[in-house]
Amino acid sequence: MDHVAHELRSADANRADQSIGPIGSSARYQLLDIQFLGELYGGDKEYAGFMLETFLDSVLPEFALVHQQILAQNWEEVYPLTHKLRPTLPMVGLTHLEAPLILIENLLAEREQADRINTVWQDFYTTLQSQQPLLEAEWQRYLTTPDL
Amino acid sequence: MMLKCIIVDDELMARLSLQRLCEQHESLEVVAVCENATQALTILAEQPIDLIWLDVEMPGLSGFDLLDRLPVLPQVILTTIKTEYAFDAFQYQVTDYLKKPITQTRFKVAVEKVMTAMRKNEQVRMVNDKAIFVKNDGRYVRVPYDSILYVENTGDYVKILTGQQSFVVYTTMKSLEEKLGGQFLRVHRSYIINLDKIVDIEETNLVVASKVIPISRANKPELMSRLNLL
Repeated sequence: MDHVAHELRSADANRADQSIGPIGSSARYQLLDIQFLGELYGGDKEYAGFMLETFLDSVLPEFALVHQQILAQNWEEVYPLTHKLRPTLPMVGLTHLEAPLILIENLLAEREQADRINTVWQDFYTTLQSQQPLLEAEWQRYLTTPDL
Repeated sequence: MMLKCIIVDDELMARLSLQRLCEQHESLEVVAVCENATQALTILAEQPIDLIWLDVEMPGLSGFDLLDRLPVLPQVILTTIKTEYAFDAFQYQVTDYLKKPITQTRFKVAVEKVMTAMRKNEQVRMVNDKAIFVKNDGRYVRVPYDSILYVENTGDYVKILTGQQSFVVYTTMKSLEEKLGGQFLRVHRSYIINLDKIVDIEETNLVVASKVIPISRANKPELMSRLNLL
């Protein structure tokens, strides 16, 4: 939970930095794990862009389904959904957001702590939603920057 | 070597990613992309597949459930986000075990493992297609199929006769008949003959080398259908 909150703060700080002025290239990607994207897609930016579109159009709506199932406390439905969706996050460079989903899967396996699951999820989901504009902006930069 | 493969995964981006990696590889042909194990079972029943890229946790049948339903396993690469299945993967003797998302480097290593395994299998198959190894005086002797004239049942043992030697082996006629395959035929409860070694055939017997071998009434139609008669 703290980890997610930290990421959210980090993203907000980045937005603030951008409004102030130009920043160094190493600090330009606060969300994206550029190194891992390179390992996944090599230099094939067209394909990487296609995968981002797939994430935004088809996968993100599935996170909304998880949200509904958590609100309804349908725990049996939550586990397969989070398990399925977890690897999609690093595929769009959001490796740091895997941790809260792993935590939720572990909590679900223990079949307890509904309140904790709720809290971790709310934090994760809020972060994911709030970071979407920055995600898209960083992807735009990634796709148009040569040699990355 | 071109390998026919299928992809089985319930998650869209995993399927797309694997499909792309396979299509970029010169030795892989993607025959089908399946969202679940049931779809995959249908494909596997319809045509021979060399390689399955298989997710473990899926709704309905899991990846391991699918493997349990296959009489013969092709090459299998498990793709999962958990490392806990490594022991099960070992039990199923899968070729490789990849953690999702799959990087390009790791994908290539996995395909190379499959290619190596396929080449080994092919070499074994080629050796077994041409000869049988028979235990003789405490060692295994290679007996080429072409050298075998006939096999004779001698009770608990069978005798394999070649032009120069004979080998007595503790096995059954049925088991040996299955191993020998194509160019051999059982013509009598006590004899399996090499069809290429027949000299002539009469009503109730045939001659291989100088040995007269009886033909049972039940086996004669099969024998005649296998010969090139004028």
